[in-house]
Amino acid sequence: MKELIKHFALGIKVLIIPYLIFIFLLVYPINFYLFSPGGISEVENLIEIDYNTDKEVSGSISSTYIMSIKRPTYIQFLLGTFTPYTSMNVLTGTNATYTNQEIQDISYLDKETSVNAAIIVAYTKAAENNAEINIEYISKKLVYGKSTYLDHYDEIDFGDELIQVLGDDDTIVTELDLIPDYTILEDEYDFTFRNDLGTDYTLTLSKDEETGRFGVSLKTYYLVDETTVFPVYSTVNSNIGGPSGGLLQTLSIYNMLIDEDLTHGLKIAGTGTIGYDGSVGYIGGVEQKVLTAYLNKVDIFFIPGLDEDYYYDDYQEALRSCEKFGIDPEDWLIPVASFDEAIAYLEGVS
Amino acid sequence: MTNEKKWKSLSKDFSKADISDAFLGGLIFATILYLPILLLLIEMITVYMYRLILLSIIIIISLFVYVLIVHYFWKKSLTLKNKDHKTNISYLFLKNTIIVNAIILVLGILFIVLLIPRLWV
Repeated sequence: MKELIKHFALGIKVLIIPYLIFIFLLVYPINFYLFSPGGISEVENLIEIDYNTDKEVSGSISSTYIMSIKRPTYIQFLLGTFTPYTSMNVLTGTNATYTNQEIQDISYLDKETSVNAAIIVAYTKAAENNAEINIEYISKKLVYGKSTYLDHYDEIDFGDELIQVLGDDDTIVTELDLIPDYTILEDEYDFTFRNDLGTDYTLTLSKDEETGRFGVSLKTYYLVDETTVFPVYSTVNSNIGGPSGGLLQTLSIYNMLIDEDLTHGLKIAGTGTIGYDGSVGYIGGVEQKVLTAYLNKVDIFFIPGLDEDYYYDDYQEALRSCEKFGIDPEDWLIPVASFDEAIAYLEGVS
Repeated sequence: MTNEKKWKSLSKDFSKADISDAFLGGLIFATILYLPILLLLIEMITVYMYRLILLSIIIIISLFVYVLIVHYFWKKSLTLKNKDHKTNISYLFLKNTIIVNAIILVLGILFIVLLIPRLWV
């Protein structure tokens, strides 16, 4: 090895500085975010249901994912400028305070809870015409946000369940909307959480002087009771996070449960979150998702269309993207506000 | 001369320590050269994910080049250690390169065909 160093000494001396600069540009993250087209992913690869196994599905139902790069390197940023398909901007809001790992954790929590919501909505709908199908669920209050001023920041993880708060006059509070009413007299209170291993832990959280808040954001999620659900299902670990596959997951699961084939031989994709009542919600990165679907030659692309007068309505944004990239949205881009609307559309497809 | 005899000839021209040291030198030099290229290609995948298959093929091809560079520096190091060697190192290493690259090709195809559809679900 010494002889190699000796032989290439001049080259090493000349190239060492540009080399280190290039490596720096390849690894140093900058405070931007970058959206670029990703791919489509068939839902049946994510969720398997042991039911109707001999049913032949002629088409496919896929969710759409995009590449959402938080804090890209200089080179990633530069690469993004070479294509019109990429959008970039300065990282702001809560994303700016979270680390990339935390953003990933939130994203996987969103994915897990959206799969649960999809199961609940699809099973409930399918059970209307099939008494064999059974779905029960439990509610949990999970941590989905943390402010920088939160005490014990590193001890509370995203997805941990709130069990109780020991409120004023030693009242045990378990309902989220009652917490403000029972945490008035003191500056700090005991919060009991349960982590993903099932271990309970209690931490004393104090209110922030400026905001008067504890700094932990909690949300009620409904999770499938896997002990009673029929037919049983299984999910595989996914590399793709986020809640935006909710609508398509619901459609695909529903299609697995019913006798008819909703796909009619079509390559169906789309985007949109799913609410527990079957409503469809807005998502981010509309332009990249439309492009992803277009590049993957899908036949139908569902997109949340909730208010045509709202400039940032996903459907309106998608129409602008279609115009920008010369995509014909006619009979391809389908706005839906609910799961029922998506089913009605597919049932009407001949 | 068979392959085995060529390796024996190499071990006559060089001690085992020299061969190992030259290999290590080749590996380190080639890796230092290849590292930014690999990082660049990975970052290209993250930005141009919709060209995943194409970029995966480019990465496989770049790995072929990496293996060639390792062998180039390995040979260079050996030659610098003993300029009077009589072994046809180029031929010996060419065979080695082809075998390693064939393994990379098989693993690459398996990655594209089996792993990619399972990773992005």
